[in-house]
Amino acid sequence: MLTLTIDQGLPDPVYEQVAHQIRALIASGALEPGRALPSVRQLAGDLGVSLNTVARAYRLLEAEGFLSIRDRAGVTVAAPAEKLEDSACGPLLVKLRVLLARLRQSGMGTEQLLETLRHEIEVLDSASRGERR
Amino acid sequence: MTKETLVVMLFLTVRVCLVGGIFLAYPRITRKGLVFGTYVGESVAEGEEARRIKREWDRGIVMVMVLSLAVGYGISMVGRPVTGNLTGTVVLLGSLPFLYVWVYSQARRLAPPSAARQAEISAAPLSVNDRLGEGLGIFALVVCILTGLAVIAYATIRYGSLPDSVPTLANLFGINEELRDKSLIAILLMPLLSLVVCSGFALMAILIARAKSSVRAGLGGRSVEAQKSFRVLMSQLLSGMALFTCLFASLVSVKIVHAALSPPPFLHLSIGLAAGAMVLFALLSLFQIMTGSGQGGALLEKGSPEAPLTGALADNAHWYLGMMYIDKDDPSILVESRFGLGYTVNYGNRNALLVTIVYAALLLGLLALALVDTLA
Repeated sequence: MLTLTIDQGLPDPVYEQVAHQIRALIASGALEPGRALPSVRQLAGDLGVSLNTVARAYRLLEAEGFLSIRDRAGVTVAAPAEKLEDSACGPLLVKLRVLLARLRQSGMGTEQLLETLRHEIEVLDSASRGERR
Repeated sequence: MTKETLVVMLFLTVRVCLVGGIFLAYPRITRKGLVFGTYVGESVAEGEEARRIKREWDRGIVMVMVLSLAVGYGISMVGRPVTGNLTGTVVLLGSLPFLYVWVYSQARRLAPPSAARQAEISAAPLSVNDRLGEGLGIFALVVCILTGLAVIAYATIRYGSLPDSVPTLANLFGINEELRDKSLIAILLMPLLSLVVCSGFALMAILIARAKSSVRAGLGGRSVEAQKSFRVLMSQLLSGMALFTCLFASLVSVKIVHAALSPPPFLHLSIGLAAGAMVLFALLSLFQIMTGSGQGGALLEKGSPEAPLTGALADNAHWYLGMMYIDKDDPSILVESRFGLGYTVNYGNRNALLVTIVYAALLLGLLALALVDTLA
């Protein structure tokens, strides 16, 4: 059973905490494509946060291509093919290039960059095992 | 001592033992970390001070039970069994709030400052299949509305052929004890009340199936499963109560019309069986939930690793007297009770408040109509 935990004491906004954990669960495969997620009202009720907070997290994940929001089917994890074709991938790759360029500019070598990326992927995977940040 | 006095004393004894027994059990089935509606944390809730407060509660409940029985028996034995029954019950129910406020005020002092920090953390299951029990609730709601409307239609159609006086009360042997002047309220009160009460039960069952989950963080789903199991049981209990009450009230409503047309007897074996089945179902279901599940699935969580409660259950700030929950930023209509059995309304939610007011207005309106009709 997958659970989502938010901490109002953290500096990160709640919608980002929700989005980060769902993103990590999808990236690690714990939430498989097609899997339905709770409705905005249900999740907001369970977490005791406002409807707008959860809606904002879902919209962000939809824009990033992680979720698919349909009127009838509700909120589901987007299929891999859908992600590849999604126009949101282009802007994300551009962002990644900008970030890599800035890290390179700060003096990081190729090995260090790869090591940093590997570490971040491990952090992403550990979130799916329920470990807190 | 008359036979009536003995029967009344027996009923009073059963009622006092049942109510007292349930209140004695409540602190034992509540979720870990809660003491009389206050979140004090898991370790403090198991500590000596918390145990002392619980012992005071036990002693208080036993004293209240003895007092109500003594008063009830005393008045009954001087030849006023009905007054004795009523007074004993009033003593029982009237003393419990004072006792609760007493232990609550002591428990409140145990709440650590860290509870506020803990309340900032909340957890939710990422599952969409937790509306278990909703189907039965919807079925019960449809059956109750259709049956209620059918009985109202039947009583209205037969109204013209009824005599000037109609029976409204019978003793246990089915003999009419009260006749009232014929009026629409006298005939329609029971089916209307049935419609409101039974639909209310079914609506609660549906809302419970959709209610907020109050889970622990980082338990690997054990808490979520316990919560789901409790939710299903509560939803089934209320759906069942809706159906059984609907059956009982519909039979009585139809029988009032029949008895008016061809008295006596007023009561019928089917009504007795329906009432018996309703009471038996309620008692068995309560027993099953209290011994097998506990409040919010508390007993099902036993043996699982310690993890603090999250969200509304760990947040003392929005709870008043440990029973009333008011949080306007929380979109939940129902939240899990902190003391007792079941769920409570979030009075800070506009929709929840609206439903509660409309429902209370319907019930009070019907009772007021009945009172006015009786006085007239």
